[in-house]
Amino acid sequence: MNLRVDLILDTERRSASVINVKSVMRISAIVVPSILALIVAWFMFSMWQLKTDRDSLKKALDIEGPKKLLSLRVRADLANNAVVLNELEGWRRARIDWSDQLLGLQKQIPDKMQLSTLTMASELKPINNAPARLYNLALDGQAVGDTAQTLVMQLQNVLMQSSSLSNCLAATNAFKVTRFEGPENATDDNKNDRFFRIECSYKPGLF
Amino acid sequence: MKLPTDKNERMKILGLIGFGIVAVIVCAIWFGLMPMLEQREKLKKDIVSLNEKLAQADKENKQRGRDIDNNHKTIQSIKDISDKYMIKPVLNNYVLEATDFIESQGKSVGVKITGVHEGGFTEVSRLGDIRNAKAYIVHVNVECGYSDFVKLLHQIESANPYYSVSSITITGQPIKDPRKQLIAFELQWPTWSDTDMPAKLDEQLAEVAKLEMEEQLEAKKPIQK
Repeated sequence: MNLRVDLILDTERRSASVINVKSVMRISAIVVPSILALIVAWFMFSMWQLKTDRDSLKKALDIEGPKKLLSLRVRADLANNAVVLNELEGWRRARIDWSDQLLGLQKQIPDKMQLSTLTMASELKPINNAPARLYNLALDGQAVGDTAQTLVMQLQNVLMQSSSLSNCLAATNAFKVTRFEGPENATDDNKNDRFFRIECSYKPGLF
Repeated sequence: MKLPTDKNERMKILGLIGFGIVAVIVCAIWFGLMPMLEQREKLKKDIVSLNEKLAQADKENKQRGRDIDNNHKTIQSIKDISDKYMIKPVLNNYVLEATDFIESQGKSVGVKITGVHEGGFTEVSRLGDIRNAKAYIVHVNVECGYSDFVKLLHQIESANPYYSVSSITITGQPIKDPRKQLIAFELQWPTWSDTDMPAKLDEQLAEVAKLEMEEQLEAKKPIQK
């Protein structure tokens, strides 16, 4: 039988462990505030750095901002002026050179046919919200003799096939005979004569 | 100061100290750290936003030189068209200039102009978005052969690519003179809706030239850091 006699008082007890609560508390009392102080210092430094960055960016923007406004104004002016220039160029685009058209017509009219009137009229009209010039041409004339009908048909075909005219026409069959009639008081001499009217529309000249 | 020897008392005091520490930490987080973190986030957002604005401004400013150059060319083109091809009023009168021009063109091809009459202006509102220019209309009468008229038209159309012949009526005179036709035609001439436009173009050109000079000076400046 063994008898264990503990002669150490409770207050005199010491831990055999290397780490004890007291030492941890002491070390913590120094280390934790130090770490906290470092974190706070780093935080304050980064805040100062961010503020410095922001202020320098603000200063740069104070310089670049008015320049940007000027740039935007210049671009707006350029856009407005481009619209004006495009509008003026539209005048050139929308027109048809009538000297070329009249010359082309002259070449196609047969000798046996007499034109009495040539009328060209135009109007300004929006097409798909775009302003355009619309041209119409009408030829009035008289074909003489038995072959009057054939002559008018030939004229119609020749006009439609004329390369100098067809480029500007609204359609390949743009020339239409809208009048074909004999004289009111026909005699034996002129009973086969025919008065005719040929009309055509041109491609819209878009501004 | 020593802690009480009684375990319960000691635990109470330690508890109180612990609670105090926790309370201090919570207060420090709540009133110190949180506002600072919020401020930090705000600063970061500000910086991102400022950087974006600065990049945008930089982009716009880099484009400015080209825009000024293009604007100069565009205004110069408008001014050239205005000076050469658009009719401008002299003492509020357009017809004198129009008559002079048409008669000189007639003379150059040997066609006598028998009449030039003012036809007013086109209704600009009918043309939708055409606002800056309107058409001044002139009615012209001539008595000549078809070929001569073609020459006259060619002369007029070559002189100004912006005119438009808006109507032609050619009527033969088989009894009076089969070689000559009675011809009436209408000429539409572009003119500014705003009669001050030529002066405004000059002002714009001067302003653009000044901007170009400023751009050149700025390009020569050393870069400031």
